[in-house]
Amino acid sequence: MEAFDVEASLPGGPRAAWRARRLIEAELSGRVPAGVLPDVALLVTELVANGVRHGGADETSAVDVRIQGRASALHVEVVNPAPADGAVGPRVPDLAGGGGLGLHIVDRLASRWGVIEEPCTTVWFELDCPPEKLL
Amino acid sequence: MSEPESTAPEPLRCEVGHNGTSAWVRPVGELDLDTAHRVDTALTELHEHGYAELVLDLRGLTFMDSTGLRLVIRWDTVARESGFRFAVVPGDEVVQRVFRLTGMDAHLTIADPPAAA
Repeated sequence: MEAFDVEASLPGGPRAAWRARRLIEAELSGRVPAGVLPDVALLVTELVANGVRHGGADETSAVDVRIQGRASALHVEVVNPAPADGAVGPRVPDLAGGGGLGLHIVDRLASRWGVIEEPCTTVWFELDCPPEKLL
Repeated sequence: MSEPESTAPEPLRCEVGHNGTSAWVRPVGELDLDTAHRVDTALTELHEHGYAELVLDLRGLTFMDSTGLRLVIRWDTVARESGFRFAVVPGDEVVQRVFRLTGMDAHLTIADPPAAA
């Protein structure tokens, strides 16, 4: 794939994930297979929403999104403005109460993902895109 | 960004209707952290009217995340505990895969599309 590197700082608050999805549509359309876009939109939404709920990304701050096209994978990082208010990791989803669902989805959809704790909580994921499928 | 937020359409609106003792909510747009409260408010108002069945019609959604899923799970749980019926009309693939990824698709009550929708 043609390598690319996009970085954006999005205002925090409840609409941050909506802004992130518009960024993905604008930057990735034509760069990755159309079938990959819904997965990227859902993954980024879950990470940005976690940043809003637990990582201090309110209206007065920003959440940074970095999207890199690499040789055979899409690499995405979401940087929260503050350390998370608890350990970031998948819990067993609570199907009655609804807890732990966001990172469960990330765990199921992403090829790989992880957390960088310092200085601000950064959650990253990669989505494998076979080279022949990349535009 | 394709268009300024001030002129962009609202991320989500809710259509509401009823059919005898059954009432339905049909969110149209994107269901996430920013908009889930609108669907919750619409369902709450109908529930307070005392309808025996609430139907959440997901066919108008172009996006749903775990916040939307959490909302569905909460209403499903409340309905089972409180003795009213809560059912979901499945949406497009972009919505249904969120249920599948979490194993929730087998757990929910599925409804036929409301006649008036």
